[in-house]
Amino acid sequence: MMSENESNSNLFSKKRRLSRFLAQEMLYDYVAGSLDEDREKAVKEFLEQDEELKREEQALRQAIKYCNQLSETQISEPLAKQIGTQFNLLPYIVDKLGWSNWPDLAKWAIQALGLSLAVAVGAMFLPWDRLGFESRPGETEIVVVEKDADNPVATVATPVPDSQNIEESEIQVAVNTKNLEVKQKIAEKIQEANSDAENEVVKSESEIQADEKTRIEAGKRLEAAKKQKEVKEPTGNPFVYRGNIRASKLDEATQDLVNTIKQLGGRKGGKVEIGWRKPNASYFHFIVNEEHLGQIRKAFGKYGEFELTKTPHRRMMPAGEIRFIIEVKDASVGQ
Amino acid sequence: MVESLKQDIANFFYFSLLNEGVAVEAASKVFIEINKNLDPDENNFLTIEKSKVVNECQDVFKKFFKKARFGSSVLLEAGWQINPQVDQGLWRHFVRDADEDEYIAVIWSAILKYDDADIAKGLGVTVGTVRHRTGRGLRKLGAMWGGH
Repeated sequence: MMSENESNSNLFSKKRRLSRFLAQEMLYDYVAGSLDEDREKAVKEFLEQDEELKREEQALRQAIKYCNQLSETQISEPLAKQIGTQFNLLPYIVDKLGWSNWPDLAKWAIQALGLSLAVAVGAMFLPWDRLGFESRPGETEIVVVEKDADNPVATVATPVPDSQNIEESEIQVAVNTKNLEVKQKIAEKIQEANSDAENEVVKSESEIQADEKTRIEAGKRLEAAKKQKEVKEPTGNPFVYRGNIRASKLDEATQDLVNTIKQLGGRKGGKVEIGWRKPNASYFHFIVNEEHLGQIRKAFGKYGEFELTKTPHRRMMPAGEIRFIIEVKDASVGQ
Repeated sequence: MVESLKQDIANFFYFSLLNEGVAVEAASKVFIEINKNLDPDENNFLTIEKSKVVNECQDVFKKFFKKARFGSSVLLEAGWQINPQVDQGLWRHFVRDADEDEYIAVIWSAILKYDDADIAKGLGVTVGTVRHRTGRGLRKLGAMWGGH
């Protein structure tokens, strides 16, 4: 059995030359000087005969020289201090989440969400009061602005706390009627609220009396305003009774009907008098109490076939009163 | 010793990641990981196995590789002091063209001068593999140097 040395000796003997592949593979070890004497000699002999490999060897030496220059690289003192002494949480989290691997759309969505949250949080904690946007958190304010026709300068009433629970209808009445009573009513409610909120403030006797007086007056005005509201509420019927009839003796019939209507307390319903004569007809536009409907029907019915129709009309009649428009034509004309 | 260790780690990431900002981040991470397993006593760094440094750097390199390549590069002011005569463009060209295994082996072996045995243990390969990768990488680098 041959020893290892004998085997190597045979392998690198002059009789058995290195193949190009082996010489190339051992080139780095040859340049680094880590080959044994025999192998080094064999590679050296091969390089003498192979120009291409020789150029490769020179390039290899240049590369090592280049790497030696790179190995002189030093880090600065601030960088040395920075390494290991700081641990940024954000890069760590980003790294753990694999942020760089996320699709662009997901990144943009997260960034937009973050921005929205930042704006929302900023808006919540911004001192709006100091920036001129006065508001008391958790309390809605109703401010009534009224403009006097004589005095064009608008006056702004004291804010009304929402807790007073002023009905919307009351505010509507105040706006519509534009009367002083309602205005003072709101002011009174404000005063009440303010007085409730300022219970701890000690008032003088005269102040208490003045408050009481104002309160009573405001109560009266409030009642008056409610009554006015009731009066102005639209009531009654939006109808008119229409009818046509033919009478043989128009003049006599007209006079008779006018007398009957006046006896029933009727009054003219438009600009013309009751029984206004047209060339061949009489025009009856009148208003009577609702209870006389049957009598009116009977009075006109005696001159011929008479039919009344109740039709809707935009003119609203007061409750208990009804309006008629009846035309009595001359029966001798146009038969 | 600590400063030397920091420099090795920082240089490894500087040459492998080609992104200074990410290199600092990665180096800090490795240093913290190594320090976590040691006592605060500085002398303990003398006993640390270089293969562990290689191994830790390799793990962190894989995590930061994509970020360094495709993320934004934050340039640090005077972070690394390199010989002004050295053409850094050649190295960047080499890292982009060579296999990852090759330039990693070249950095540890030819630049940082770590023993092949430590590199092999840290990377989990044989010493022969390390020498093969280093030789192949240097030949590529040399060829680029010649044509540069």
